[in-house]
Amino acid sequence: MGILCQCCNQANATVHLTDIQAGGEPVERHYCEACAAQEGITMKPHEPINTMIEKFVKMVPAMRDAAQLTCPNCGISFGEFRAQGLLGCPEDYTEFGELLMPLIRRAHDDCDVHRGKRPGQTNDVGKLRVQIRSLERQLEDAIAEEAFEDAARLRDQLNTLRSSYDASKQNDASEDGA
Amino acid sequence: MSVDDLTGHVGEWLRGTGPMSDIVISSRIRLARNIVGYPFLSRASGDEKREIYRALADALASAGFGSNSFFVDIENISDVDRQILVERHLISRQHAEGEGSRGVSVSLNETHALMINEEDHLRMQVLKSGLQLETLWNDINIIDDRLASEIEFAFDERLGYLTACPTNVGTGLRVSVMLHLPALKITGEIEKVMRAAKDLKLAVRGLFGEGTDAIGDFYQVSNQVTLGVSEEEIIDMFSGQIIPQIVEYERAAREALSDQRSVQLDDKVWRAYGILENARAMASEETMFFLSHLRMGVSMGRFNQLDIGTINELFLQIQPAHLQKRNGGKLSGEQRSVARANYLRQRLGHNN
Ligand SMILES: [Zn+2]
Ligand SMILES: [Zn+2]
Repeated sequence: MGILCQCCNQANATVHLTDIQAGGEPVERHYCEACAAQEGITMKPHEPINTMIEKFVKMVPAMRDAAQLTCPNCGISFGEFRAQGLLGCPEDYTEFGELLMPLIRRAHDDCDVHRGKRPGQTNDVGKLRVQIRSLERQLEDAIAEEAFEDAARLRDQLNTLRSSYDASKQNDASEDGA
Repeated sequence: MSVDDLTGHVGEWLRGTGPMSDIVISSRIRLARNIVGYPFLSRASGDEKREIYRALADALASAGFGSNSFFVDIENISDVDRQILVERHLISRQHAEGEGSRGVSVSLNETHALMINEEDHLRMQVLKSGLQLETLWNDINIIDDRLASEIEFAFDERLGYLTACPTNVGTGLRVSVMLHLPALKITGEIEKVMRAAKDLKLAVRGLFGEGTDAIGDFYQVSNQVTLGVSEEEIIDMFSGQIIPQIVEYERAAREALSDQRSVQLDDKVWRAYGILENARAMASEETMFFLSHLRMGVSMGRFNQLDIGTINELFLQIQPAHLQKRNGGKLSGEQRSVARANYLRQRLGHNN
């Protein structure tokens, strides 16, 4: 009983999907567990965006050359993003902005401006974390390049930021306790 | 409160009580958020994941999510317990199978589940039975605000909430409504519904548990566009147009079946009942298949020995991890089939 897996035609299909393809008809697909995992259906939820990215890259020549572009904050390259479908850090939206926007419009029905809610409050602790992270990265680079004067300067800046980071965390904590 | 305490009963979302619950099993809203100052998870080290985990767990505690909730450290529970949470729709499969520090805060009635370190740092989800999207939006909006006063989320003036995958950027909001559409399946009109959904840029997919015939007649409809529309607009579209329309199609198909093919219809329902209350070994797929027919009979008023809530509960209790939890140990596929049939016979009120 049951339907055979459309991939291997041997095992019973136990994973059944009905997908609406962009610009296509609804398609029913049937896979066995093994093929489903291999096809990325049960394990990798990012297949659609990967496919979308690959198609897009073929269409836009500038994007082919952009694979090397790297985010200074988290170190991800645009090529790595393309391969995994996931960005490395929030800064990537700025770093890869030009390259990402066409993709974003494609995924969101030609829209590229947020119209929903916005966070009511912000705190300084988060902003300090960002600055500390970015300095840590610059410091690592400076040490790797043996630019020791730069490294010393960066280390001083880091220490200052870290102490105000600790101080503001403690402030927050004491406010909670009050 | 622990995972063990969950398995004996069902979460609110399966009670079969909300509006349109003859056809709408459940509604869910999810918000994706990331905290400022950390990379997304694919670039986060083990230490950073631990820091994110701690920061969010602290934020949840100081926002008051300790009192009527319980917290589960997903990294350090058994596979079966993880699977229990997946079967109860409290965490995603991806979250269960992930790596490193991760957790979930679950309310006692299982209407909210806040996942830490899934694809984004925080994925909040609220779920209820029937079509209740406005209530859910109200609930999750408050949860989001309470957390935002404890911790800063990555937000961009132009692009909104920044998410690991650009397909979620903007509102980070995903509405998912789970529908039971057996009559549209029988009449072959389900294709029409799918096409209409496609025109509205929606994703429709069959649901599956362990090797379940998705077509156990359950379909999940979700939005794909998260940028350029407000949360309220997305929700209005679902509760004002899309879902009522699909429900109306399903009801019309049910009416047509009762008018023109009532004997065949009752035959399907009673056969399903006959097998479920008598079989000695039941695979997961066939159980879903027959439970679907039985559910159709109950919700159409053609079968009165059971209520919708009970059938919904059976769908959950026959899942592999729930069977194994009740059994108190691991079961092979064959043993599960026997345990499943035993459970069904016992629940359907016969000791034959
Ligand atoms: Zn196969
Ligand atoms: Zn980055």
